[in-house]
Amino acid sequence: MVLYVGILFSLTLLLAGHNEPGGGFVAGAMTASVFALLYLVYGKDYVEARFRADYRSIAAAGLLITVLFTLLPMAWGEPALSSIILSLDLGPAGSLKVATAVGFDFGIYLVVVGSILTILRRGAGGEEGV
Amino acid sequence: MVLALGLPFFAMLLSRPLEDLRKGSAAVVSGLAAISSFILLMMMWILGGQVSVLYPWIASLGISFALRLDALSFLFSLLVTGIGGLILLYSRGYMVMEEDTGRFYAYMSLFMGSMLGLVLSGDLILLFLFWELTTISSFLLIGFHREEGQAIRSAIKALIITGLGGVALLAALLIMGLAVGSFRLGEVLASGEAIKNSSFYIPLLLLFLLAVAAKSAQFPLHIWLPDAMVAPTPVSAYLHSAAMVKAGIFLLVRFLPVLATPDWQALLIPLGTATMIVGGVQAIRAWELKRILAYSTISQLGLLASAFGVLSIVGQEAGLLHLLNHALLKASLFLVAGIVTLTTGLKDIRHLGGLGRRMPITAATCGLAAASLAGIPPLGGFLSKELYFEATLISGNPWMPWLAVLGGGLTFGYSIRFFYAIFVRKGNVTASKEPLSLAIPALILAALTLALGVIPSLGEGLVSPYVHGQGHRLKVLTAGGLLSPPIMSVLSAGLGLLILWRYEGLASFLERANSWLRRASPNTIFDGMAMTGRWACATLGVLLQNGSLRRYTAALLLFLGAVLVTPFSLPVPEVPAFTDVRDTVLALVVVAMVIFASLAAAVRDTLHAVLSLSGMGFLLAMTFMLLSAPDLAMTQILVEMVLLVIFLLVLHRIPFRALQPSRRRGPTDILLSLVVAVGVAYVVALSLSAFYFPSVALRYLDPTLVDLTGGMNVVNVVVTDFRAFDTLGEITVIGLASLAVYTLLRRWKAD
Repeated sequence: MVLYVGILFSLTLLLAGHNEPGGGFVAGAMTASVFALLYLVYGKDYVEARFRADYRSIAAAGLLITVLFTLLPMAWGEPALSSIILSLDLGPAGSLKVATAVGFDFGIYLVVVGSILTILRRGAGGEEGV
Repeated sequence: MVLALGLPFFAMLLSRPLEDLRKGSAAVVSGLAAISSFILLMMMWILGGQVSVLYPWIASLGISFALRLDALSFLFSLLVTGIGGLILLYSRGYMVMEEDTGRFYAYMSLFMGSMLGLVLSGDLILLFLFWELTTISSFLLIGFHREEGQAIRSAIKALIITGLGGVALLAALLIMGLAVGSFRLGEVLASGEAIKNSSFYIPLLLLFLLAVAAKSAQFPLHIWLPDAMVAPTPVSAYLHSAAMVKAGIFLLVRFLPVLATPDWQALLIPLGTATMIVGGVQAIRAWELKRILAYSTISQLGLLASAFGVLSIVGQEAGLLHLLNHALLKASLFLVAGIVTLTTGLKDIRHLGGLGRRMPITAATCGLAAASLAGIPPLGGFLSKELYFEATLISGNPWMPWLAVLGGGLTFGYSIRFFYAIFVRKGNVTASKEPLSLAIPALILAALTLALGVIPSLGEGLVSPYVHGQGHRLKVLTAGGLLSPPIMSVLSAGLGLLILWRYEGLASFLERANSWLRRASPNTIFDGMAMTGRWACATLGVLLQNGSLRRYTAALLLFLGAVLVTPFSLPVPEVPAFTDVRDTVLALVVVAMVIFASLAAAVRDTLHAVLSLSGMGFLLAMTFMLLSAPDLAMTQILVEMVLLVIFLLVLHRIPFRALQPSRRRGPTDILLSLVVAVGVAYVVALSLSAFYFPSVALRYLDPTLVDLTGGMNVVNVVVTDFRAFDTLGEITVIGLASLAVYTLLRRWKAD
């Protein structure tokens, strides 16, 4: 249960980052802490039976996404690393203003989560709690 | 054009999953990608002639993503995609026994894309980027068989040498770009005169030639190429004969308008000719199939380099035509070698023979290609050799024609012998059936070199658009004087026949000479350097890293303290006044932190010390909150929590004994802590008092910037927009650090 609330909160942090306190690093640390908690309490086997993912790949994916968003503006003719602000019209719900920096942030998020969890897992190898 | 360039990269990404699905499928997809690019480029050229594409990339530095299709890049890109496509199809049949073929095709496509990008590049820095990419993909491909020690060593050797060339190239390109004021290729090429007359021309030339020599295996930097033969045969055929090694030559041609002077000629001709002779001699000595071909490639690259050293149109014509021919025939020969090894299980040419009957198609292919290499009419190689001879006569260098004849003779010798020893002479070698799927691509390549010979206008059509800029014709004529190209051809053929007649004797003589000369060879020098490097690191390591964590931290802190305290003369920083309640709370928190810190130092065992430090961390978060920095506070709390967990987990694993502090070192520890504490406190106070350093943050606190980024949170906006590039670097470091931890802690599993 805690896991879901934790992840939800970190996603909120991630998306809100531009206008409110938050952002990629914090969101990543948040998610990682939630997982850390789970590792501590339940131990490696429990957690990994339920969540099968290669943490290194998550970190690598994050880097890839960040680089992608770095280069993306070039498709619009802008130099790399520019940020473009898009306005999405959601009909009755009003319009949503999103900056492409969000994608960048998402990449950061994945890198932080992946890296911390890689390290954690190494430490947690074979333990049933601390 | 971007599509044509992008296709191979796209194929690269698809390779792995495709291979897992169905073996061999990635070869077809990559092959199709190559051929599609080939067709696209062909169409663009025929329809439009010269084309340029431009996207701004790093505008602030004047670097753009520019592509440029002109006569030269067209020729090369056809080579890259055409030969590449055929070799990929060949690989489908060849790599059946291998595992992990998905990775193979991914690397091959990566290479193809990089090479294509290299020749199509219209911006100096972009060119460098692709150059390095080819170095990396070559490294990955040479070391493909990850478990073999020899493969790893050869890959590293290649990486070091070609990487060195890369650094030289970067320096050269930067000099050029900065001198001209632009990195756009078009503008640089137009400024030829200015560069040639400038004061830094000589260093520029030297750096440039270093890069060329490293990548195109010129003496003495050629040593990586023979060792690179441990790679799978398609790799040798593609990278190390037709494409990557030609990148250096490409560079020569590309920048010829900018750099060609008598100095250029004086350096390049000896370099190329020496390489040609050394390569040829070694090719005769060698007995392993692929090594013979590797040395032959080195020799031919030397020929090409010297051809472009001659400052005349003829040299360029000869060079380009021979480049084309050589790429085709060498790739073909490598494919043949692959077929032979695959069907017989043998690599030593001395044990082969009599395969002509069993494998007629392959034999024919080999015969065609070898004859072309030897320069026998009516094959393509003959035409290009003749042109080369003519170029040597015009060069103004009296030695060059004779050395060319010598080189030609050597080439004649080893290439005919190659064919003869495998297919013609009597031998009892068991071989399996001739694999058609492998033989056909090889035959196509060899047939093309025949076509180039029989239909000279074909070669002319490809070469002359480039040469037209300088206006010339493509004919093979005498140039007067004692020697003339046809006579030279006859002389070198004669020499070649002589070598053939006495081949075995010559080979063993050379072998003995070689072992005697080994001490002075570049290979020995390289190995010596590698060993010295290793010894130096080991010694330094023993000195600095004796395994004691205390030593490391002590060294770090000492250095930190010294650095911090030294540069500043000593003005007294201002102390901010206590103006309201919040400040009092803040002060209390800080006092609490100090208490915790002392606890950490005073306490007996590490567990409690860690807990105290964590307590400090949380108090720090509180200070952030008090100072209205919610982002920092949140991050600090979370990080502290994660760190604590990691610490506890790690402590759980360390034997208890190692954690007791030692009485003896108490006083040194105290001194060390004081130095660092004072230093850090001083610097922090100084920076906060805005005495020396105006606040950087103010620049970003400007409300008008909101429109640019759409974000109201300064911290986040700085991280992801204004300083996004820094962030990119930071997260790369984080990723790498986690990989390092992962690898270092691997041993723990075994405990």
